[in-house]
Amino acid sequence: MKIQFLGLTRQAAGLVHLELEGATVADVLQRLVASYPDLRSHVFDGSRLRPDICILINGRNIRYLAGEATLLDDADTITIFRQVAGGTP
Amino acid sequence: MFGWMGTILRVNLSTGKITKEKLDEKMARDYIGARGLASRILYDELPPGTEPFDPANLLIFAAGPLTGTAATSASRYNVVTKSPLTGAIAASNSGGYLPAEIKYAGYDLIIVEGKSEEPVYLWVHNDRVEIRSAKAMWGKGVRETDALIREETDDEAKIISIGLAGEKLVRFAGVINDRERAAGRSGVGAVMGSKNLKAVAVRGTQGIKIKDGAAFREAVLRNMNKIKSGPVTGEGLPSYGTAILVNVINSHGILPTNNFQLGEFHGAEAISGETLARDLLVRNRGCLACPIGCGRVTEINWEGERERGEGPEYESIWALGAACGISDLELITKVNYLCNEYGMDPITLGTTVACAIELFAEGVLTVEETGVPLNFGDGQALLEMTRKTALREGFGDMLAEGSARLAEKYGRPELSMSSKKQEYPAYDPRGAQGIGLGYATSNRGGCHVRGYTIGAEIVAAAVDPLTSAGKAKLLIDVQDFTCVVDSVGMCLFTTFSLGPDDVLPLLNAATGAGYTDESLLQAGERIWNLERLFNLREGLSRQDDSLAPRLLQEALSTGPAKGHVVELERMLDEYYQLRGWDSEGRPSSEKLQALGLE
Amino acid sequence: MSKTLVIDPKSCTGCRLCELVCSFKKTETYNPARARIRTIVMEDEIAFVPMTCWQCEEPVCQEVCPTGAIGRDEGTDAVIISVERCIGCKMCMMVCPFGNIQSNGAHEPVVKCDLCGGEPECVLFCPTNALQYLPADKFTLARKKRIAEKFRSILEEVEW
Repeated sequence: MKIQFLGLTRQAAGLVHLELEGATVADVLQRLVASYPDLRSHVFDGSRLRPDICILINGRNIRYLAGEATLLDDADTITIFRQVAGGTP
Repeated sequence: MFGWMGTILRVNLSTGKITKEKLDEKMARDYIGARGLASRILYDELPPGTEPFDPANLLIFAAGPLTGTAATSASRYNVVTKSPLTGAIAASNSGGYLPAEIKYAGYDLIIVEGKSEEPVYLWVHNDRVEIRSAKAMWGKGVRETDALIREETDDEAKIISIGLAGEKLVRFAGVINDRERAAGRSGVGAVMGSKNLKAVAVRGTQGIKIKDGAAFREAVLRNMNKIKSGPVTGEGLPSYGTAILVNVINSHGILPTNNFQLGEFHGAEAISGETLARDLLVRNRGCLACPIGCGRVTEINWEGERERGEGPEYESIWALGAACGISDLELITKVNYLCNEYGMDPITLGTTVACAIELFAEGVLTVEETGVPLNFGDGQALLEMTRKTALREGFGDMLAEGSARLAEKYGRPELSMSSKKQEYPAYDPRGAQGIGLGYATSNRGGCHVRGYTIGAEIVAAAVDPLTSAGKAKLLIDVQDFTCVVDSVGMCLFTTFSLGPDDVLPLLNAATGAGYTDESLLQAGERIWNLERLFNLREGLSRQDDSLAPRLLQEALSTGPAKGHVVELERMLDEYYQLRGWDSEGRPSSEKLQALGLE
Repeated sequence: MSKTLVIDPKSCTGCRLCELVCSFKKTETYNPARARIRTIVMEDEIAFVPMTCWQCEEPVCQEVCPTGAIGRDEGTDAVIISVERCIGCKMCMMVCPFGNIQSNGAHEPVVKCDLCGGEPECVLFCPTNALQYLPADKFTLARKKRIAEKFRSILEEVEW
């Protein structure tokens, strides 16, 4: 599947997108931070996802899917970025 | 007074009379300042039904009690008048240095009424106020006007001016201050032009007094730390400016493309914040007292010349880019520079051109009318139309009326992507239901900064963007708090990291006015309701709280929002009910009484 | 070793918080016209340069002062003006080669930056570290290290 980075995660990973395999979001994230250690602090706070990390599967935030347990398909596009505008009013 | 300067400057351009009035303390407390206070004055003084270009229309430049202090990003003022684009109330917001200078000169508000026979500018130097001839500046762009007036007055003066678009009464002309900052929307610059007022120059050397200096300083430091440690205000906006949203919103499938026909733009990456930072960015710029610095100083090579200016920011990139199917970032930047120079709202310009392109594609418009073929993706045509619109030349004269009047004239009103005749910004509401309700109920017509639910719906992902449940309540909270932020003189972007609890101690320490959590947000609600009353008095009603038919009837065809339209009617009923309004959108007498608006 | 106010125009965004907080500390009002620091805005280049007293080692302002009102703070080494001895002749203002002594009218005939007694308010509030207050050796060492890192990467890339 295609992984796409925006903004700060793009800086940290040093690339715009890549192809990667994985069964779930959690799998993919673990593989990513293993290959790109600079990404870790953008994605995780300790062992948990940072509250300000946004992960989309085909444009849909994983919060409305099954979170890190969301199952992935080869045709999926995963977009990973830090909150860049917005927040609670 | 503390925080407030306590004086309103009033200038009648018909009679040349200049007066200074004491600011009423209760009114200041109830309406805070800037947007709120100026709206109250407009409501009280403007005879109902006044035509926007009638000399009787008022044009109010209004700073807030925190404007000009060190309060986080408190650089803002509002330009308030009756809009020639919408016929509704206009409150257009801008930062930079000028708004604070109004305070340093000793005033909270400058009210301009009447109309001069000849082009003039206003020179406000502390308590000395003069109306001067602007014949030398009429016909000149914003930068040259700024330079000429500073030469005639004081190099330290800060300048508000209109460009050619304001002079030509383009219905979406903006008012530019400090050469690059725009009170861009709703045509406030056209009202300025209708008064033959080219500019206002301000120089002030007076201090703003603070009631409790130590508490204020502490609150400023606390808020600055929150701003710096917030992900959006501390990293996202400083690194990429607002343009970072291009890819983010496109990824969500709600970057309106080709006049809202699509929600995904193939050229998004080419016009993204990342591309801008890589190819065009020179440095960041902050408005007064702003630790965020979202402003982008950019440089382009244009026809062999190096050109430097500010922007474009997200909404402009979108309107001049995706909305028209254009993916040439350098051209978009050039058109944005031109919009600053002509004093013209790039959102309405881009979306009006997008509407014209669709009319052209439908065969309703032909080259006979437009002069050049209009096609999605054609940057040169946009460039040409920008100049023609500002000068009202040829087909530009029609574009200068905005998309609603354009589409109406050619018998296809449904192709204008607007509410209350003001065009939408850069979020397709079919994939973010709350912002759809926001566009429909905004008191100044299609707009994102009256109730920016995108923060909660998209990026923070605090609520599901695709559902309409709970959006009325969310929107009301955002609308009311935005009224507060706009009225104290802070920037809306601070709300990415700060809430009412952070604004309250600043405002109280500055003014000593003793707001409570409740009374502060009630002031916001009061301001929102007052703006509503203004619009109702001008004849607007429930049917104006609507959306372009496309958003209500044609589902998005791709992306996560595929199959969705805006579920407006359901949300609107709930919204009216929660607001304490009747089914026609009129505030109940109990609500008015509770807000002291009866 | 005493500290130095270090200015980095490249990091400055022109927010002028330095002017605001300086004026508030010194006059209890927000009034940039009376601030001891000033951000020069270059309109065409859209560039920003904060300007304030450099605390010269051989201050000409001190040399010309007819009443000996200008001296050095023992703690910070800042060049300071004694309000008691100053007669407001403004000679210091006239000779400062950098324009960093200013007159704010009758109440403040001449004023300049005094480094806030060692805790410069402008530095505390500067959001981008365009203003820093550092021991001089720390500043130069930090720069040496930064440049050395560039040197290293260049030299290591090249085959001798």
